Amino acid sequence: MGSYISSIWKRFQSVDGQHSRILLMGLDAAGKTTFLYKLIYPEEDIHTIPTIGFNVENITYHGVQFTMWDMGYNRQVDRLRRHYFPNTSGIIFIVDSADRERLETNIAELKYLIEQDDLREVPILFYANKQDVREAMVPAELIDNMGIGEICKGRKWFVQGSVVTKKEGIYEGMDWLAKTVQELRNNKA
Amino acid sequence: MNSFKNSMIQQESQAARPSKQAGQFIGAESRPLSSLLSVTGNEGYDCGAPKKDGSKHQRKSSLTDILNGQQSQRARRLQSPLKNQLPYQKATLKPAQKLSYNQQPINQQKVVHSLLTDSKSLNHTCFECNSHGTQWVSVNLAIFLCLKCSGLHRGYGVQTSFIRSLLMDTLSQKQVAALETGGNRQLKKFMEFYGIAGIGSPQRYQTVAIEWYRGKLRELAEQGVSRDGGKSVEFSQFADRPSVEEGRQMIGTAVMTTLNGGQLQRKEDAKELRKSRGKIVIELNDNEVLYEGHGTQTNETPHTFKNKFQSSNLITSQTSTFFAQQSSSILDQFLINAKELGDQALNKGQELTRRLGESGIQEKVAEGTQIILTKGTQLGSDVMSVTSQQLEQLRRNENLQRITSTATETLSNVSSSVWNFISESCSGGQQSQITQKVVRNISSAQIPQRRALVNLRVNQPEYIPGGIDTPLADKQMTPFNKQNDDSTSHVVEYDAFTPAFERHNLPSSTQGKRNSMISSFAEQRGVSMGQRETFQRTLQKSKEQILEVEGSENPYYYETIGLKNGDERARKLIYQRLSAQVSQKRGLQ
Repeated sequence: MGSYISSIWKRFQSVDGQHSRILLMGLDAAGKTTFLYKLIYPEEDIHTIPTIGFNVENITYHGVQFTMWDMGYNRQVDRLRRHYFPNTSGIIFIVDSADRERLETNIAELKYLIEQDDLREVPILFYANKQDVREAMVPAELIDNMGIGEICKGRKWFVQGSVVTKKEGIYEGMDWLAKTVQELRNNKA
Repeated sequence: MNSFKNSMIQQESQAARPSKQAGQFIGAESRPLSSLLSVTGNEGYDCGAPKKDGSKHQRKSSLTDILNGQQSQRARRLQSPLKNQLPYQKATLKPAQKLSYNQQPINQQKVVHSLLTDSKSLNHTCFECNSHGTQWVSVNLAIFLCLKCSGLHRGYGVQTSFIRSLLMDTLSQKQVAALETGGNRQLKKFMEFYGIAGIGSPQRYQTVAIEWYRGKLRELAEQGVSRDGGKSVEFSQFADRPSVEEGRQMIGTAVMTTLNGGQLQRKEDAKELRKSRGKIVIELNDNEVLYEGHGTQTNETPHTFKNKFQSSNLITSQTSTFFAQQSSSILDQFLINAKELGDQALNKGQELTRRLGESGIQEKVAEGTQIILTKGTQLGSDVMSVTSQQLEQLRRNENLQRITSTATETLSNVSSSVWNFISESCSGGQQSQITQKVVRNISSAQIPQRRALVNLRVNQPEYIPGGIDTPLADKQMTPFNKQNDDSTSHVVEYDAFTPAFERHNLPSSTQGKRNSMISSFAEQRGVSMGQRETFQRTLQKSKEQILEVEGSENPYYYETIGLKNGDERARKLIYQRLSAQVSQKRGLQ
């Protein structure tokens, strides 16, 4: 009886336009906050300050309602942020592709996310950001250098080159995310 | 600096908080267990990894106790006084201190603190905006920044400026060393040396000089800091620094490496390249890959991703070899052509020189020049002789002599008269009186102008005592209007035209005060109120008479308009005329 009720409840949750939680991850100064507010205010120049804590915004993209959690990257939040991992339906991992020195830190961060129990089988959208900077890694190069193919085995992932400040590539990535999130939701239901 | 101090205090307080809590909960014997539990929960949370196990264990056991409605041994011990502390309870104090949220070694904190407090190094103010409270640091430029400017610097990219927080991030040993050798003052000095301090902030960090500075800073940091804390280092004294002109150039405009074959291209080309980046051929692990702007949406490894584009891969390799061959052949042809051209030019030049030598042009030219010279000298001598003869004739002419003599005489007369005049005027004769008159005239000529100016002001219609309240006049009387009374400009205007004793009590836009003001003004101008009243009466009369005589068709209508402008002459004239007409009419009747 209890299981039956819970199954009905789940169905309601999934079908009835619930906001799907998206985590914006990545190292500091990758462009997470800029990406978030460029989605909301596409025509404005956005100058951000380092995020202390996190920003949360609701976005409806192609009929899918997202709650974007922009987690500031630093040691302070590091211990707290795993409390926000349950019930996430997607991760956006933004990489500063001009920053070759901190590639290993990026890999460690990605591995940390993948090892989390709450984030199992969650699709990951990678943004190879800052493509306009010289010496920036092209997405294919990033895939090879970070070993995304091997790390993200068994889940859906997508790498999109982008220049967030100029809105280049952000919508292509979001299209993919909206599509996959909806697909996964339908499969669950 | 203050904020940093505060943060230090915060750190201390944070570090101290768990211990206080621990003290509280140990001391509180009579507290219920649930409150104690909450405290322990927090403690476990704050202190994190090193004593996580202990706290978890503690929490579990006490929860079970509550469920069972009993007190375990552990819970009893919790309520016991300080002496009977358990080992893990004692341990709570130490890890809490260790895990201060900065997590930096204590020496490092000291170093950073000393850097911030040293007022000579200017580190306590933001490098960009000079505001106090620098909690952020650009590690590769070794400058201290505020929160706002650190946000801007993050936007410039990691190569230009790599931002770290002093409070939240850990700095490596090298980074701290770089901060010690660098600092706000150092970079400011260096920028002034190159004259790039005035350039806008994203551009000035992308110059060759600053690029060199970054490299040098890194180099020095790897060597370690000198004993005096890197204060003796002067970056402008290094031999390998770029020259001033070279240092002012921008990096971005110079060259840019692309991934296909490591070719060097200009920035403009790179822009186009970026546009067409969907079709760039790049190299990965010595294999060419065609990149189409997206990653893969599969769970496959990148190797299969490469295989997808094998067909296009072949084409690209073929085309590249083809183009390479073609370009080499073109180059060869070009070189051969250039050589041929050069040989031809050499031959022709030699021929020319030879022919010139054969023809003997030099001798001919010399002869020609000699002829020209002799002829020129002859001509010159002729001209000189003729002119000298004519001059002598002129001198001998009588008329000229006469003219010169008369001119000299008249000039001498005039000069003597002038001299006499001056001397007399100085001594005080008749001429001096004339000059005084002239001076007087000049001085008096200025006075009427001044008066006229004053009159102009006074004769403005709104200030004439007894002036009619025309709409035009009302508009100009803005200082007394109710609406515009608050504005200061009108008050100033008003001040200029009021006598000094009236300025102290300015009329507050009431009609009565206005009238009083006008009356006072009238008194000052020598016009009594009685005169004004009579004048108004006469005007009213004239109006009535106009109505009586002419009705609506008034021939003097336009002159009445003149009346409104305050021309007294017009008024008088009209009055005279009207009165004459009226008398005529009455006589006729």
